[in-house]
Amino acid sequence: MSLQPQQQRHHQSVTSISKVYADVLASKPQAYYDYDDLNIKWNSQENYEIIKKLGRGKYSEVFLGIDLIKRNKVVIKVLKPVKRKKIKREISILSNLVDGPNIIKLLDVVREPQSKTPGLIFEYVNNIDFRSLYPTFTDYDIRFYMYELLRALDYSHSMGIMHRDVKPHNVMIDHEKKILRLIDWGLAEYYHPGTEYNVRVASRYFKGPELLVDFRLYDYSLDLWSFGCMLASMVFIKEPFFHGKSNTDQLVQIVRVLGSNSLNKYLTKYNLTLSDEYEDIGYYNRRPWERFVNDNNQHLVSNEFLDFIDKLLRYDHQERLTAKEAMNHPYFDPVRPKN
Amino acid sequence: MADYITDSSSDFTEYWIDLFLGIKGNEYFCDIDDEYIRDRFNLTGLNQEVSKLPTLIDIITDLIDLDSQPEDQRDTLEHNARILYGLIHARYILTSRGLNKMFEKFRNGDFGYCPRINCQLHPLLPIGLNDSPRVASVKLYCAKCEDLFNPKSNRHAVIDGAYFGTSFPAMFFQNFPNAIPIHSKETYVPRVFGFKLHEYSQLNRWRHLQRMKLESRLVKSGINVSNVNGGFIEVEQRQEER
Repeated sequence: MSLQPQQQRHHQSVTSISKVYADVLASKPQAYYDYDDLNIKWNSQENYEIIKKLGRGKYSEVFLGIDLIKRNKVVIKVLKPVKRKKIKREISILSNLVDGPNIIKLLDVVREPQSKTPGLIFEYVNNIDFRSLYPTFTDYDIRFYMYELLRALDYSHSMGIMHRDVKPHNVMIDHEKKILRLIDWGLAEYYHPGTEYNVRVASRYFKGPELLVDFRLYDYSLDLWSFGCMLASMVFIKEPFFHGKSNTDQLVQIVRVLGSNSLNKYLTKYNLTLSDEYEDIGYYNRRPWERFVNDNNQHLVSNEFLDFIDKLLRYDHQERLTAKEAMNHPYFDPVRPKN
Repeated sequence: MADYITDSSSDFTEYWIDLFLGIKGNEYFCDIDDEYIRDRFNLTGLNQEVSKLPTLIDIITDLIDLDSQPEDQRDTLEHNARILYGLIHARYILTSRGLNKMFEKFRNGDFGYCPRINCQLHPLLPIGLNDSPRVASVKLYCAKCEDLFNPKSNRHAVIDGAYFGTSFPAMFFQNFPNAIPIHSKETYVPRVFGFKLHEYSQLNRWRHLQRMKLESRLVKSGINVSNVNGGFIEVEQRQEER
């Protein structure tokens, strides 16, 4: 069933299975998630032209482009040479999620005929850099957009897919049109319960404790940790919220907030041991969330928020709210559509 | 015969013009007829550019030997003789004999070949950007792309453009209309990872449209520009890459 074979580990950890959507892939045809056999129909590049460079990632170069036939702007993501399998995975996932709420729409896949360099054509979102946009947000704006982000996450989880790289850079917001899109599904993966996944995913400040303690049986709840980091940084106006100087230090920064006791409880529960580089991690008391409130951010903080963030930023991924539960939290009462 | 060869080295003297043309870097110049140089009518005004014009003429045409001149003046005389030759050259290459000589050099590729890829090594012609000496060095003209280039070699790049003049290439093609090439329409299309650049392509599409309008106007007026000298190669529509 699982695509990645179970690997022998040097120490036995307690198994873990997602609380929700654990079996969605079992009800889908194999062609849905078996991206190895994905047959991609590559179209010609001639219908698209580059207007300007937007940015570059580790795995791609991104351009603002134009669709010459539809006469509208598009985003062109040219993939750097990576394993064919990774390209197939991204295209498979994007195709399966194409109709989902707030998920960036993959419009076309093209290829340079000589070098076979793949280019993904996406819908265009008039994004403003989060570093200048987020500080202008009101309490309502934050609740509104973070609810929209949860809709994307809940949908993808319900489709058996974890994003694994949730962070502000991957959330495009057109503030004028009040549109949010979750982008860059290059690290996303299908969730097969009981599968051990690579822990070298997500960006440092948004890496969940499971990645930092090398617990490979993680699931969709990883995205809720990253989501919590994003929300905490927006509300407390502290970017990033957990500012680790290295992957090791990243866990230290988390422990300085959530405390050592809960970490030990978490490690015991899953029969995990910290690797040697954590030898002198020290002891920290839990730091109450209220302590992060200051004159600068108090207009964004509410009791609902403090309750909400506490239920998101938990070491134990099984304790974290699921995307659906998060959407139902009172924090979103003002923005939740009534029906 | 053997006598003649051993003897000759001492008193065998080459003509001044042959020596001049043999100097490295002077490959662009052609050989001017003695009669043309001696006809004072052809040299009108050149006495304002060099002093001792009659002496210089005699040196160029080998009527006097430089060695017969005072030693302290020889270098100046030789220098001025070369300038004078250049200035006469500019006039001479516009005459029918001069044009014919330059045509041979053009055909031999003595002026080099166009460095532009789409010109496919089309031979160049020298041109001055100014007819007065000491203003601009010689440039090279490509009739295929109708553009100017700097000479590749430093020796050529320092030659005065006035020794060829501003009118030479245009005059050349008036005289040899069959040498006017059929222009290529191909241009370089910049691409990034296979994608064309929109701003550039839009301008290119506009150019293409204007060209098509012009061509249809010309055809209506009974002027054919397709595959004729001075016209354009009709390229078959390339198959769309799949």
